[in-house]
Amino acid sequence: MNSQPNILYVEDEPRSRTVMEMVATYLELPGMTIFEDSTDFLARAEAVEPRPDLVLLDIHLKPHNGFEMLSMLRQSPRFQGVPIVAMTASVMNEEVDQLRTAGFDGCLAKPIDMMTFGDTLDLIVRGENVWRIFS
Amino acid sequence: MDMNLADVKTIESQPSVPPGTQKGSSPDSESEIARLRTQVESLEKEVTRLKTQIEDDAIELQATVDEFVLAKSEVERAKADLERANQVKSAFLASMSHELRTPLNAIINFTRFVALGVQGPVNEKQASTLNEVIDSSRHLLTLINDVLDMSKIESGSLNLLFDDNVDLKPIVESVMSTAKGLTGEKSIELRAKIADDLPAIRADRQRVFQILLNIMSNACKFTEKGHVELRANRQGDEVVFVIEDTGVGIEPEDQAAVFEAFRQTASGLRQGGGTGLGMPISRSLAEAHGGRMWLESEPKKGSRFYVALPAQPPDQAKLPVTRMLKGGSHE
Ligand SMILES: Nc1ncnc2c1ncn2[C@@H]1O[C@H](COP(=O)(O)OP(=O)(O)OP(=O)(O)O)[C@@H](O)[C@H]1O
Ligand SMILES: [Mg+2]
Repeated sequence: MNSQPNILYVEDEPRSRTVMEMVATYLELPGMTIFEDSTDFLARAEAVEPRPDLVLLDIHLKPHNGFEMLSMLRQSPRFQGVPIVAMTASVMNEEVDQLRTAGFDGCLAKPIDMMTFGDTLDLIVRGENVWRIFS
Repeated sequence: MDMNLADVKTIESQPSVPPGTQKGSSPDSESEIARLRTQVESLEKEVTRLKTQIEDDAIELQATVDEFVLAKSEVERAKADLERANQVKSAFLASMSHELRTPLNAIINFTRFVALGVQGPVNEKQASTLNEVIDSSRHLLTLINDVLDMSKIESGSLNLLFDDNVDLKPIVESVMSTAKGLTGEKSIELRAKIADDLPAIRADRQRVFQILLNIMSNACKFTEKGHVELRANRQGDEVVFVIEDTGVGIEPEDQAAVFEAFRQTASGLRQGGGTGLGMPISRSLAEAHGGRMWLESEPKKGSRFYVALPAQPPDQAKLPVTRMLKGGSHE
């Protein structure tokens, strides 16, 4: 990547949002947008400028869960071809199976590793499926 | 049967046939009748006896049937209980994994952020203390992962994420660089010898890393001086890793226990720390690749741990089917 990717991260848990803000500061990712889930989730996601190169979704969210958000984004013309990756602390086999079946482009387990996170994002933006289910 | 008997009786109870009117009413035929009568009587007794026996048997049989029906419903209930318990267990583990990882995400990364000096200068002492926090948190994470792995293995729900053409060299290199941090003050020479003709294999990268690191970290833990060497060679259709150390070794009678969950040898316990899950997990992971893991050791001389992985695991190595929590909830 020449320029840093624009990323949208949807997360309900405040500390996990703070962690991502710190990671964005440390890795100098100016194009990081972070918000909580809400009823107007899709409209807000579609309004993000510039268009995200990558979406990270937590799974245990309200009012939508990550699976519902995934299918909403997949149906949105604006998000065609944008990799959508689960960012979750739920990484038991059954749960990962469900992520794969649902059509996520990958999964990054929490805790995230700040030291390798930048490289991982590059891989994903370049179109690789990354299933980093334990760290 | 009863009817026939009665008939016989009726005939017999009419002995008053006038003499001469019947053929063969000689003394001979009279004794013949008497003989027949005793025979019939004893048959009668036998039949009564058999009848009671059949009745007794029928009662007994009914009791057995009742017992069987009861046992069957008990087994069914136990089976349902077990299935429910298994579901609860797997839901509990999934939620525990989630609940423990979420705060660890904050602890590890907040600490790292401060340690990196992003929020202002940190002196050397402070940085090293913060790094201790990170190390301990990562250790805790390893324990959580091990316990969860073990329970996946136990329940047959361990799934691998296979990739084709996995290059083993970078994996070995990153195992070696991680292991470097494990020797501490000890004077151990760490070395790796990777054969040039090592094929790329079909494998789960992270799991291969996990197997090798588990073995390497034991080798470093149980060796005070000498060397720890990791070799990787091609042997036929397999890649064979050998991790050799010059440490305390393992008594012959303890060697099997090394691969049992939660078992540690006397030296393992003396060493302190550890849960005794590293080796059983590693062996299960090797087997899930369609491979094998074994050891050779001489007490006080050292140990050699072997891992053989097929370059192309058989299809069943996509093993084992997920059994627990199908269609489980995500809330
Ligand atoms: N290289 C070795 N040399 C001597 N003993 C060993 C070696 N590797 C393993 N063992 C013995 O086998 C036991 C089990 O190893 P295992 O890796 O499963 O558990 P652990 O290292 O004690 O704990 P954990 O790996 O879960 O932190 C060890 O406690 C130790 O007694
Ligand atoms: Mg160990």
